[in-house]
Amino acid sequence: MKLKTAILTPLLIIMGLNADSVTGTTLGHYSKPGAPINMTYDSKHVQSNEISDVNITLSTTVRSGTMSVILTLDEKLTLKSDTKSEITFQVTPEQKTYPIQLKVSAKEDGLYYIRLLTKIDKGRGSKLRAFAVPVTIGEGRVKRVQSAVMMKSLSGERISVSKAVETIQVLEE
Amino acid sequence: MTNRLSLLTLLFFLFYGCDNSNSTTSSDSNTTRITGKILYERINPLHSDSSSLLNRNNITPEPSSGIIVEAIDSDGATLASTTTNNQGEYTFGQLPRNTSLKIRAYAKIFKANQWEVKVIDNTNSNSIYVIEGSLTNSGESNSIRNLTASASNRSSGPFAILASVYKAMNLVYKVDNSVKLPKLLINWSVNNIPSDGSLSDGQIGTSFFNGLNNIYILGDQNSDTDEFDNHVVIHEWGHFLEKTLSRADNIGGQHGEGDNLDIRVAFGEGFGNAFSAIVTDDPIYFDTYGRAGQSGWNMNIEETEHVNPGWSSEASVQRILYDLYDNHDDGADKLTFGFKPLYEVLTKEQKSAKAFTSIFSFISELKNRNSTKSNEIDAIVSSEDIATITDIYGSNRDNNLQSGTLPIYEQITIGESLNLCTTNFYGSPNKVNNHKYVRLAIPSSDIYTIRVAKSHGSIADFNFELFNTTPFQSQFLAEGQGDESRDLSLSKGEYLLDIYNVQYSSRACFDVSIN
Repeated sequence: MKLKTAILTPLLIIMGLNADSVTGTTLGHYSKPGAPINMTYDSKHVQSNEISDVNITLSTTVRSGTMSVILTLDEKLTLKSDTKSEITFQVTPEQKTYPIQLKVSAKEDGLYYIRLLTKIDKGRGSKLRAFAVPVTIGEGRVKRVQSAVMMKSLSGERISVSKAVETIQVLEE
Repeated sequence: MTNRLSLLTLLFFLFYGCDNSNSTTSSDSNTTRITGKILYERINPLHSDSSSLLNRNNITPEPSSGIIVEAIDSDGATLASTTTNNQGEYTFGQLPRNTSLKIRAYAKIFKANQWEVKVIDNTNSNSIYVIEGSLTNSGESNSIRNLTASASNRSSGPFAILASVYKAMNLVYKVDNSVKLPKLLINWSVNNIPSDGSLSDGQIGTSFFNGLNNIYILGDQNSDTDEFDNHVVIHEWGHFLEKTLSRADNIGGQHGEGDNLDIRVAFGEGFGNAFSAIVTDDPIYFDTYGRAGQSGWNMNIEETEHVNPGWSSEASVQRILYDLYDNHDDGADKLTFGFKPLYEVLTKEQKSAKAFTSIFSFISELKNRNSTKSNEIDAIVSSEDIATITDIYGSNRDNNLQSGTLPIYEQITIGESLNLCTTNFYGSPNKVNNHKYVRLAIPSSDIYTIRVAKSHGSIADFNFELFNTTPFQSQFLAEGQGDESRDLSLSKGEYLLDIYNVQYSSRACFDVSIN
C-alpha cells in the first residue's frame, strides 16, 4: 500500500489531485438565493480509526452582522476535537475569512458528511445556506439511501417504485 | 297511457343513459371501468416574520395534475394509459374483467409536441419515480382506486416538485398555448446533498438548473431538502424558461439580497424570484432548511426592505417585475400588466437584444411595447433608485457606485485604445466591476486584431469573450495565460466584448484595442 501510494501520489499531484485530501469550493457555482456565504474546505482522507483533519473556511460579501454556524456530523462520524457544534462570528469588513477546524474519525470505511447550517443576520431578517463537507474514510464507498425500489418496466424503462396509500371502492350493484 | 309511459321510459334512458360514471357495470360485458384520483401529500410551510419551516401538522393531499397513469397487469404489461386532469382524476373506461391489475402513476407530465418533464433519481440509475397500488382483481363491477403518494416515506417529493413545475408551465400555456418546450429532466434524490462532487452520488452542491435540460433539487433531509419549497423549484424552472424561450446571459455564481451584482446576474436571479411569486400568486418566497425542514427563511418579494436598491440589485429587479405583474397598487406601483406582456418582451425583444440581458434591455423594450404606460413604468423603476431607462445599454445612469463603474458599456472604434479597470470592491466573481463591457462596430468584413493587455496590477490575468449581436451569440473566447491578442475574421456589424480578470484581484487595469 505504501509503495503504491508513493508511486501514485506524485502522478495524482501532477494531475492536480491529492490522494490524501479532498478539497472543494462553492465559488463560481449557480446557486439558489440564500445567505451570501461561500465555503472552501480541505478534509484529509484517512483509514478507519485514524483522525482526519478538516479545515473549513467561510467567506461572505457582507460587511457587518452575525454569522452563525450549526455543525452536525453523520451518526458514525465521531468528533475528536473540542470544536463547538454552534459557532458565532461577528462579521467585519476587515475579516475576509472565517475558519473552522475540526478533527473527526470513524470506525468503518465510508463517505461521511459534516453538515453546516449557516445563517447571516444583519439585524433585519436573516438568511440561511446549507453546506456539507465530505470526509472519506478508508475505501470511502458511498452508502446511498434509497427511498424506493428500482426495477425495470416491461418496456425497459428504469423506474423507482414506491407503494402508494391506496383506497379501493367497488361500486356494488 | 301505455304509449305515453313507453315514450317516457325511452326518454328516461336516452337522457340518463347507461354509460353513467356511477353505473356499476361497464356497457361492454367483457370490460370494467376503473376511475380514481392520484394525490400527493404536501407539507405546507409555516411563516413567522422572516423565518419559515415545514409544518408537519399541516400536511394536505393535493392533486397530481397532468401526470401519466397506467393500468398494469401481473406480468408488468401495460393494459391502458391515460393522463390525470387538473383535479388529479383519471379514468380507464374499458379494462378487462376479473384480471389482476394495479394502477401506476409516473412522476411525468407529457403533452404531445409541447412538453415532457420527468422527475428521476440521479443516484439510482436515473430511474423515473412512480407510485403503485396493489395487484387486485378488477372483478366484474366498476371500481374507484385512489392513490396517494405519502410524505412519511418521502414518495410524495417527486410529485410535489412536478406539481410546482406544472403550475409554472400552465401559466406559460395560458398566455402562449402554442409554446413548445424542450424535454426536461428534474433530478431529485434523498441523497442530494449540498456538497460538490459526483452528481450520481447526490453531491449536487445546491438546487440548480444546469443551463441545458436538467434541474437538480436537494433532498437530504438532515441539511436541506427543497421538494416542498415550491418557490425554489419554480425559481429554477424560471431559469429553464429564460434559457429556452428567451435568452439568459446570467453568468451564475453566489448571489443574495444587498449584493451589487453583474447586471446579467441581477436580472436573471431577480426574474427567477419574481417568477416564482407570479406563478404561485404568493409573494412570500421561502426556503426551509435543517433537519426535517425545521429552519428556514423567507422574503416578501414585493415588500422586502430596500437594501442597496439599484440596477445591480436582484431584489430591485424582482420588486420591479412583480409590481409590473400584480394587481396590488402600492406606493409607486399603479400598473397591473399581468404575466402576458412580460412574457412577450422576454420571448421576443429580450431574446434578440443587442446588449446583455439586464433590467435595461427588459424595461426599455417593455416601454417600447407599451408606450402609453411609460410614465407608470418609469415610476416603478424610479422607486428602486434607478434613473429613467432610455435604452438597452443603461445610458444616463446616476453614479452612486464605485468610481469607474460608469458608463456600463464603453465604446471603442477601430484603431483606438481604451484603458479600463476591474475591481473586486463589491466581491467576486459575479459582482459589479468584475467584468467590463465594450461595444464595437465593425465597418466591413475583414481580419481584425483584438488585444487586451494588462497595464496595472501585479495579480491580473485578463480574458475576453467576443459576442456578435446579430444574432446574439458568443463568437470567441480568449482565455490563455497573460495578455490576449487575437486575429479574428469579423463580418460587418455590432459586437460586444466582455473583459474580466480571472484573478479577481482588488484592482487591475488593462488596455483594450482593435486594429
